[in-house]
Amino acid sequence: MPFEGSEPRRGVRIRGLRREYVSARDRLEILRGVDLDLEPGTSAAIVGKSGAGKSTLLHLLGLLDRPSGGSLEIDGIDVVVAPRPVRNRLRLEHIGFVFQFYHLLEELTAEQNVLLAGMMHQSPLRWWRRRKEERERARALLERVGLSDRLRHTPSKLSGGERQRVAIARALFCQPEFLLCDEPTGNLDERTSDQIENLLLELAAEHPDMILVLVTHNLRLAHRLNRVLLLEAGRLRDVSNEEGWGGPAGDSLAASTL
Amino acid sequence: MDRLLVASRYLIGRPICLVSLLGVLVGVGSIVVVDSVMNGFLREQMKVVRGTLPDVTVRLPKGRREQAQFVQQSVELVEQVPGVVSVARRLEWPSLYQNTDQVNPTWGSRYGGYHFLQLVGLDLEVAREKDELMHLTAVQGEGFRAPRLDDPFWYDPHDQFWKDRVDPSKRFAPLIPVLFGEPMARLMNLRVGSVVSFATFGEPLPEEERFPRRKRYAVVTGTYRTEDSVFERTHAFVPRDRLQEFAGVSESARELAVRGAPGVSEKEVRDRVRLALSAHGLASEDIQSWQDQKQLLLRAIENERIIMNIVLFFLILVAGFNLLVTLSMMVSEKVREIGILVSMGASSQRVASIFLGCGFLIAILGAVAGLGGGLLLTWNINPVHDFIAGVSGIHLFDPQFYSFREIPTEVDGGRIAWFVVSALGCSMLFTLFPSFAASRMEVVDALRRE
Repeated sequence: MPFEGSEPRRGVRIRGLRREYVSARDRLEILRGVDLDLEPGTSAAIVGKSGAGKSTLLHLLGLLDRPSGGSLEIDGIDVVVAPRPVRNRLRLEHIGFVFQFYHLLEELTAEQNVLLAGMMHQSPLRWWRRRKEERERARALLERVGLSDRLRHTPSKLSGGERQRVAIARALFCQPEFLLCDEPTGNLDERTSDQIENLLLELAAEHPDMILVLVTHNLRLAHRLNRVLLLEAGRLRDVSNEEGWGGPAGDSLAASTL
Repeated sequence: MDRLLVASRYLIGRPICLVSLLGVLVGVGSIVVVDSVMNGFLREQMKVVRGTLPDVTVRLPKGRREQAQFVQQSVELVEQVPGVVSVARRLEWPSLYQNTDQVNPTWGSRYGGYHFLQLVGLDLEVAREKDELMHLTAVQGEGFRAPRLDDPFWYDPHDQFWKDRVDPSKRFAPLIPVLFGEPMARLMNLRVGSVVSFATFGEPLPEEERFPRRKRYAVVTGTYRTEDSVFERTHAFVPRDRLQEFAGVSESARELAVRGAPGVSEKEVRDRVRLALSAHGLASEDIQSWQDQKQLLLRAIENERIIMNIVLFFLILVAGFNLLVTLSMMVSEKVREIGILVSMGASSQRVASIFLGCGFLIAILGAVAGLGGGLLLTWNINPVHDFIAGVSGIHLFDPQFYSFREIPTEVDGGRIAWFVVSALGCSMLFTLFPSFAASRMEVVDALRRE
């Protein structure tokens, strides 16, 4: 769903983004000035050691957290200083999340979990008028992710892979401009991971203007995206074109780095 | 829509919510039942407090009430007051009495067979016109009911009815017809046709410095019931003119009993009568409504009501605290889901409204169910009481202690609506804290929680 208004999309522009946690005894600097530009249609993997701040960066990108400094612009809007309602609105209408632990609402069925995003997206009256249409859309999306026979199942009756498929369908239901995935295959076995990876990339390809940002330890998956960004010592480095990262030979090097 | 969906699912998935709902249900239900029963008791108590008092009483001052013309003029003036339905002269005189047919072995030995009684002179014509006889003749059962319901003082020594019942040696004495309170009649073994002797002292004669002793026979022509069991045991009705003659008093009335029209308050009638009689030389304090005369007791009843309200309010508070605990538990259980909702774009108001919705659903469902259950129990409280008494052998309500046979109830819609709205308001108030806590949660921490 594109931004309202006539402004062309400009993607994400990050400059000098900092995030630190200050407690009474110490000060922990996680991000020390991250610079990043993401054009519409880009897919990027953020890699790095555990604790490097990958999820923190993703949360800042997803407007779930506020940075300690620097600027973050989404389509030209400075979201760092934007008031809470604007950030909520941006998150609601333009950002989709997929988490490692699926984060589905346990009480709702697969279909309801997907529909919930749509419900939040519009007024109750509008939703009521469009409910059949929306339900059809949710079912089509669940069918697309291979869950047409699991519509009425609650998350507890679904496998890990199936839950992640529901989470992906939910994230895509409102046609976000930014899809942020936090280790989406980190909790799955290899075979299921492959299926989810393929699904994610297929869906990303179906939405050519969507920016996909994926935090992962899986270098094989990272290699399949347009860009690979290494988060190291609180700074982000684009390693897509660096020698040793682009091919299989780089895997062993990367493995020791990560 | 999303909030309703999530809130309802949260409720359905949690048995603890049912406990909370039951808390509100029991709270509201108890309020309905307790309030209705208390209202019923207070209503009956009010009747007892009022007893046989008329709407407004006009006390005729000594020195003037002996003048027949003054009394007559007073009656006529009051009769012309708008909103007054009837005015009856009222004369009371103390007397001793003895059942000449059978002296009560217990009481008779102590007082030589005589018992104290207040005789009330009744204006039969006025009473008959205004349906006052209804409660005087309503007693069922042969031997207690007056033979003629239109004239409970009917006595004819030549009629076969009375020949069959009255001792022939006393039948032709100038018998005063008398109506006894039904419990007293049963206690003293007085039946229709029983002859009692009255003894009293008349007004002191001017030429002698002593009270003349007066004695008459009276025949029981019926019994009466009122709401006031004490009155029934201490008062008997006789025709007013016969009482005046028996007591040998010059005054035809000591008081005027005024009855107001339906829909006109006693206070209004009192004020109008005061205005009408002020020019007639009667002071305001001589004219009082029945509430004026019983104001201390009425204040006590009002206090009872206030105390009851406080107790009922505590019931609501308990239900509210129950809701607070349930929702707080729910919020701490749902931390991660709150994070998910926020990650999907939910604002803090939206998150708060989900939990407010939970609280509201619990409160409204509990209140409606409690209202329905409470009303159902109120309307069937006597069968339910009988059932419990039959099963457990415990009688929570013993009619022996009261002047009514069943548990009285009175559903006051306005008060109950107020209580239900208060319960809802209070419940909503208690949901504010957990809802607010949910809305202020740190999203990142919530999402990272395993």
